Amino acid sequence: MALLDLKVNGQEAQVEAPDTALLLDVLRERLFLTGAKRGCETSHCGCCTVRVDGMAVHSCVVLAARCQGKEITTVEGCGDGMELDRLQRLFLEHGAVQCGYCGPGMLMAAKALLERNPQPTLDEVKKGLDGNLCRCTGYTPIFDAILAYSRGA
Amino acid sequence: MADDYRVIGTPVVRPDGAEMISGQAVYGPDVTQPGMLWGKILRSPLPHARIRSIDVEKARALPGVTVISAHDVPDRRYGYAIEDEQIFAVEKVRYAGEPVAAAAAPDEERALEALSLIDVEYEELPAVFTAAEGARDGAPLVHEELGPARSVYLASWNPVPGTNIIHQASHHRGDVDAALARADYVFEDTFHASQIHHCYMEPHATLASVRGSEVTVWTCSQEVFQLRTLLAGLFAIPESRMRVINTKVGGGFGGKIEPRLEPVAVALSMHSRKPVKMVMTRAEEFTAAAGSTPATVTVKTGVMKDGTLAARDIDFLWDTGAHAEGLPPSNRAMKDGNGPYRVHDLRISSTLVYTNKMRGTQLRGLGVPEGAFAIESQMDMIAERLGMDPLELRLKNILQEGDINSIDDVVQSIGLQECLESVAREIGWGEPKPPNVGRGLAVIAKSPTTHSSISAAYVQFNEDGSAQVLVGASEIGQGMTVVMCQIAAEVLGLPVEQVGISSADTATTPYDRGTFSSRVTFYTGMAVKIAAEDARNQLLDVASRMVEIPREDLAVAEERVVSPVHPELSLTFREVLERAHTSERPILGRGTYGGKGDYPTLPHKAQRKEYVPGWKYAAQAVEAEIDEETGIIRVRRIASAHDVGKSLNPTSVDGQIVGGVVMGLGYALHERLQFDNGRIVNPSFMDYKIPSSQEIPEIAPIAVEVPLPEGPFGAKGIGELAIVGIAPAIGNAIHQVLGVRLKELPLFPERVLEAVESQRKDHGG
Amino acid sequence: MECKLIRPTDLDEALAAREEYTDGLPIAGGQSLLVMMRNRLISPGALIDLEPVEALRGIEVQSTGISIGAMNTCRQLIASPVLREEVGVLPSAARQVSSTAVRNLGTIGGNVCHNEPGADLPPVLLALNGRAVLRRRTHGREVPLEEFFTGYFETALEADEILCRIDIEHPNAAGVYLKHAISPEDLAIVGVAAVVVPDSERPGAVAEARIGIGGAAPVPLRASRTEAALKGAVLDEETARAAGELASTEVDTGSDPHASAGYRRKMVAVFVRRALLHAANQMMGNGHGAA
Repeated sequence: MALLDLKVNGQEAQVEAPDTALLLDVLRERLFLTGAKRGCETSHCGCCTVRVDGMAVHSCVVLAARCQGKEITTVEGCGDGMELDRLQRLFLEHGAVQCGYCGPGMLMAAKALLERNPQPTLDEVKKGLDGNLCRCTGYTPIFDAILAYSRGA
Repeated sequence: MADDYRVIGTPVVRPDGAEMISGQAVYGPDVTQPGMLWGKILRSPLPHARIRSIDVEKARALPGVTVISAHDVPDRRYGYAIEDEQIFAVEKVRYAGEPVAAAAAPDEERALEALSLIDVEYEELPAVFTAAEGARDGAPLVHEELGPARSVYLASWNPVPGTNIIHQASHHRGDVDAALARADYVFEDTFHASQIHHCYMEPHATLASVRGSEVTVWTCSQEVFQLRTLLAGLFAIPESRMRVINTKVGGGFGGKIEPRLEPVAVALSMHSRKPVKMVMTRAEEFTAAAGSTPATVTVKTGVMKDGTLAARDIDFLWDTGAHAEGLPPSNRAMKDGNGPYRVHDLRISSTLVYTNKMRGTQLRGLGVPEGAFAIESQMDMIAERLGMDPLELRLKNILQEGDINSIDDVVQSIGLQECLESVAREIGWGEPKPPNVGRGLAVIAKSPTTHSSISAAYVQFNEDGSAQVLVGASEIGQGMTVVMCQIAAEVLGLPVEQVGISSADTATTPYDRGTFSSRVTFYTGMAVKIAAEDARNQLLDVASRMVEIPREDLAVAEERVVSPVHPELSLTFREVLERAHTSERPILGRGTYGGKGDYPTLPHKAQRKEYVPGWKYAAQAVEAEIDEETGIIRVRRIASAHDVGKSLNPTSVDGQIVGGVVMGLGYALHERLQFDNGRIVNPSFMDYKIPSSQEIPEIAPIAVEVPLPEGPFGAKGIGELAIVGIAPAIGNAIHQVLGVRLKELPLFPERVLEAVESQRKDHGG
Repeated sequence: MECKLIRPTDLDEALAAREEYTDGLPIAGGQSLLVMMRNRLISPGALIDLEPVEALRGIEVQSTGISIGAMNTCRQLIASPVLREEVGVLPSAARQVSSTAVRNLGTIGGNVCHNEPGADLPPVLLALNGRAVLRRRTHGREVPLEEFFTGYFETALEADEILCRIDIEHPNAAGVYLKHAISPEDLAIVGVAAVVVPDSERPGAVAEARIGIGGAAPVPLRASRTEAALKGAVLDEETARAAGELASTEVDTGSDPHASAGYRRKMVAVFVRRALLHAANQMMGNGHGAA
């Protein structure tokens, strides 16, 4: 077991976890941040996507120990209290959330994309979401929400 | 009907959207209880084997671990359609993946360790892996004996004793053989639909907690009431002591209708006396949950020279795997198998066969996609032979208002022709295109739900004049919550934000059959509408006494009671509620709605006077680019037009259409469970591909509104149909470019290439 | 049994740990390794974390070529101005590896050592005459990648070794990587890299063509007979077609859920031809840069 010093959504947290604990398990089981979802655990579905130092990563294939000294951002770090942020609101307005299970991961992937490339083309949006599966929406409403964000809509 | 609605038909944002997109919604895998254990299932590695012995002693010796197998649980058989399943395998296993034992421990690792200490000795048995093999005389039997069929299925259940044929039925009208003999041309073709997986992103997850004599089950289910009835019966406790609470459901598509983890979780909790949580791995989802029910479909169609369809004889052979959850699709195919066509002389037969594989169950459109691939592919083959435009051939034969459909219902509120014309226009049918680009069409239909379809709802006014809707149907992502709030808000004269909703908790919400078969908007929607009207009338009664104006002269508008006769009157809901709550009684509206089942084989069918309303129709068109050298198909554009009756929420309607289309794209192009001797060899998202963001074409969803008088504000369901026509439409586009006809799904590049090469050979190339 | 995590601070410590923990495995990006552990395909007693090891980073231009630290992520390969300028085919292939999230953490060293059929980087690195620079505590060695990829998910990496760098040639050449997959984020059903060195004496002719093929066989390989046949050739449609046909006889294709052996073989012919023609066009266009 190891004592890990993590900084999640701007807050310091110390957790005890097995040496090779995965970030997803630490977030969900130790910090009770269940916004990162368990979907496949093989790094294909992207439901567990969070950001580490700004980059979108699949937290099911990240050692928690490696995240010490880095900024971890999860969906719980978006918005302000009960207020959603602009991208979250656009997701809802465009119908980008149906069952919602892929939503937090999609949102984190979209945020990483928009930070790196604030004016993405449709193809760049598709590429930016290539690590996130959605079975409900057919993706199109998600693309629309992201493009609306970049247009300043 | 003039659309002067305030809330209906507007793109209201879902009330549960914020909790989902902020990561706070509690899905099945997110539920916890103090002191809970984690449960895991030991599954059979063999497709068919006698269990010689199970030794759980070493596993039980682990501290803090509970281990159970068939000896420790009720041996009752269960199943919604046919009772052919037990909690754990007894005597023999029938598919690789069948539960044999289970363990609960303080963490998943420990539970898995316990499973690894269980010794099971198997004696492998000969097995059957295809419906054709299974139906053969003398084939090894998957089930030597069968439990009874349940409820509505009883009347139409027709097994062939001593075989693997669990159900055989046919629907017959007119004289098919004579009509085929009279036809100018007869086409006979056989098509194969593959078994796909639902691939909801959220895996099955359940937490069961036995406290005293009460059992509480949190689970992600499409039907909490059916599940409650089943669990209560299985464990022999009254339904009043069995509470099923739905968590947020991360997608269902038919895969979360029947019980999966729940019986095991309850049994583990009973034995350990602790709450037990279970979550499937994605590999378990692929190998042990369920897939669609695949079919081989043979269609014989008689056609006159002018293109009139004269007769049809359709034969479905279904592979249901080790359990008969394929019964609903196999039955539905008898009603829907002919598609939306006018054909008088008709015979549709359906045979459901057990095999030693993971079960097939219901999957979005259950039984319709399999038939539509056959019918809509053959329609283009007919058009080619007759030298007709496929669009013209369809326009000539599709159902119109007042026609008699395949099951003798009079066709009502149909917008199919408009759907077909609009997708043809949208896709540029008949316009010039490059030689490697093809366009294809399909028209499709789905009948209303075949269950006796009943729903109830309560609408209660709160102290401040806002309102609460309670329904027993499940929100599985389809947007039921927003639509129910819109219906109530419209009736009550409230802004939609003033309406709250609770759903799918058997102890607190009223009965509902659940979420399946595109039924919730229609049935639950009607129940909510009626309940809201009841609540509004009660509110007006109280107001009427307060202001001494007859109720008939009162109405609701903008959170107030108003009167056209007394324009000066303005009473807030809050004021009326204050009066109701202090000196009268609470305002609780009640609504129920139902439709009865209508199996074509039911003997009373001939005398039936009513019909079950709500047939859904759609037309789809695709444009695809085909690489002749690699067989790769790039779908560039899709148009999908649906006769929705009335679009209650355009965002939700478009969402259902586009989402269904993309699922249909995967079904068409690359989704299939692959087996090697009964074992699934592609149980991951790496090897079983669902469409990803990079494959998405331009999609045009089109809602055609022909109001259905029986539906809430004229609405019909929309959930399923969009998956159905994509595969045949793409098949038709491929044919247009390459001149080859693919009769087996999915339309893998490799299959396209094979078809091209065998065509070359046939032409002596 | 709990798996230990060893976090060395430099290469010497990493190599010492590699020697000490005989049941240990080095972890680079972890994008495949952690999945294999989760699926219980492997259960190492220790993971030796290479992330802190500075010596495994950096991309250096040397007189003979470019030396790429094994811990460079795909994201870093894509962003590297040096690679883009000198060997554009490598970042272009890195852009096709799996998904954004995996490219953010997955490394060139991990990709090569995992040696999964259909991986995108091995065919390109083969075509760039890549060499694996390996170290153990006592000494080091260099292995040409053709010899490094030894079998299905197997490499020449010894139990006490660490892959430190991959050295590639710095060619005055055109290079292309073409991938055949159902969707771009998948592993390649067939992935073909073609690097074409123009003949400075004879315009339009190739001094040398190097072809790396992935996905088509248990190991990524060089189509050496095809390469030999192309020496000095003018790359027209006919030559490219013949080269494709020849290359398809050099692969020992297998079947899996994505494609059959026969289909893969046919696709090798198609994609080798297409890659060569692309590269030839590129060569005519700018004459250099493997862009």
